[in-house]
Amino acid sequence: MTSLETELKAFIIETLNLEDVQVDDIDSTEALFVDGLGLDSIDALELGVALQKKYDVRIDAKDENVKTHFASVRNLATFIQSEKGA
Amino acid sequence: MSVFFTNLGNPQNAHTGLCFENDTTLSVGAINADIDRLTTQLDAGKRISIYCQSTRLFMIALAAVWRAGSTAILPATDKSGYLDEIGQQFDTHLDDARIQQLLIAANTKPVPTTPGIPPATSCQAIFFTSGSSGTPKPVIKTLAQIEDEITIQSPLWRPLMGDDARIIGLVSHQHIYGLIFRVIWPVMTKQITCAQQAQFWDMVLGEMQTGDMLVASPAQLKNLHPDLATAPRPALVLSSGGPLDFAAAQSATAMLGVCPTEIYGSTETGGIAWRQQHQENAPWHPLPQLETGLNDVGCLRVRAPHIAGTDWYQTEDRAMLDREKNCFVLKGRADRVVKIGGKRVSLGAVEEHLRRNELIEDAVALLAREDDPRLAVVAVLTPDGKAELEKRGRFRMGRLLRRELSKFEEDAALPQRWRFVDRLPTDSQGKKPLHLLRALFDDNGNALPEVTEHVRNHERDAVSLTLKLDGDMTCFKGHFPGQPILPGVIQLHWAALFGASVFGSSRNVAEVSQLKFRKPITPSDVIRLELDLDASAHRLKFSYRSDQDDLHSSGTLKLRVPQDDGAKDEGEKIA
Repeated sequence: MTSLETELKAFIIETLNLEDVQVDDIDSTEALFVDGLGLDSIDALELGVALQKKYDVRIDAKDENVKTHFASVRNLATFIQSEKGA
Repeated sequence: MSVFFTNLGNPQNAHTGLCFENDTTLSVGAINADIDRLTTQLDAGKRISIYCQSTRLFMIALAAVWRAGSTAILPATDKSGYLDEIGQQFDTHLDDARIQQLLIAANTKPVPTTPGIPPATSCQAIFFTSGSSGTPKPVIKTLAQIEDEITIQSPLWRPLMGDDARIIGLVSHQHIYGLIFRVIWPVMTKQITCAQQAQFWDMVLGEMQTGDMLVASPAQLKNLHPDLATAPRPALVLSSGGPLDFAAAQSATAMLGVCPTEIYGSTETGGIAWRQQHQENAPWHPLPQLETGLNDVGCLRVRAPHIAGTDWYQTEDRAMLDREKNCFVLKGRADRVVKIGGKRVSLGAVEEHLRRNELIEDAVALLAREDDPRLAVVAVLTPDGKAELEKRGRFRMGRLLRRELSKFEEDAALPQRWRFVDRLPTDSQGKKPLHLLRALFDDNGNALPEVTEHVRNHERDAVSLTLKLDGDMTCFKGHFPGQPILPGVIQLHWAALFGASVFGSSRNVAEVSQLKFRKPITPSDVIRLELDLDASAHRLKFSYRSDQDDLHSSGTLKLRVPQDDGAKDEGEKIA
């Protein structure tokens, strides 16, 4: 698990004010939405805004890859790193 | 003209029994003499709060406050936080000890002429209901209203009982229901009432005689003592303060030999209607002289002399009227709307949808804080639900239920905060008080353990709580791997939070002293947390003990007192 992944998990918990879930409880490869961690569209909206602020990444809702970027913590970390590298 | 005061003062009733305590029965004359004495010790035109354990002393104090020309304030509990909350609303506080002191003091002085009988319309009692905001809301009732209600109800119930039927109460006289049937009713219908509230069915078993009248709550009728099946049969069992489900009505009928008579009403209205559930969803019959109607949105409105005179009183209960048969069926509450993100959310609708889910047995939706932008739910799960919780953990379970709910509800109405409990917290009236539900969220996700037994010492601010621990709790995680123990700092935190929820004391700790950790607490221990509050010194003593009474840890917390709380300072000066 990379340090960015750990950081993202803590960031998700803090941003969404999630109770009863710790960094260790989130698997880097599990689905963030629906039957994985169980986040939903309301969370996605909030998380998207917060990620733009903190990591200065542009999330284009029309981009077909958005779903893939948000699929798991690992994908999100890869996406942020690639945006930064660009 | 007051039937209550006329009966108390009538020399013909002087030797009639009114109140029994253990083996002694006190007569109307003896009680009235105490009322006379206490009246001489009280001022006119004051607001005097009364909180008693003894129904005899309560009756004496209530009558004396009215005779003296003052108003009675009736707090629902004597939790220090609660009394502080309504603190600015009374001038003097009477409890059992203070009433006894005043009665003794009256004996040493020559008895001056006491004021005569006051008109029933000028005798006021102020109750506090937990309003939708959670802040106690005062409700004023007059003795005249209470007497009117008893005059309407007594022809329904009194003929069902023999002349010497006594009244055994399982509900507190501090609430309107107990006050009507355990304090005013016995004087008006010449029945003998028990001076102590039976807290448990064991106490009823020791007292009950054939043909007695039981004044109980739905929660108590749901949890009957098995020995009642062979106990003497009561002639009448009253149930009020909340709905009694059909299954409980059936089992109570089998156990007690008489179908409970439910009374529907509220502190604001007093009694509205009654029913006996011989079949499921039996309709309610309005009390005699009570008119019923519906408003535009289908909520019941009522008109009766004891409610608002010639005015209609609008309830927030949805109902279906059957004009021909003069009865109605209740369809749930229409109120309980909160605003989340500017959207109106009906808590009742959220609960109804949740209860339809096969994983959920029962659920209450609420805001854990007035300004919380997140909807919260306390839920009891079905066996399937419990298995699912075991599999997913609390967070993912909440998210699963939230997804299911999103099929019916808008985003704003989707709960963010979930607590799963074995049973919903209820008070002695069988209601689910908002403050107990809210206390479940005090921990901010750092779970407080569930309380399986709650024994309150009423002599002082002391309580014993049996806690259900479980290895999955966050507090056991990480220390130590393979050998989890409960961290000391969590033990202090729990003591302060449980103190705050039971006594209403401050949850902030300023100082810790006399701290001893003798034996670690592990997830498999059955642990009793004992709390003892010295409210004036703001000191909370705690100890964690095992079921074998072994001491695990103990200490004293000095609680931080909020500096800006003017009302609290005021309350302490007066008390």
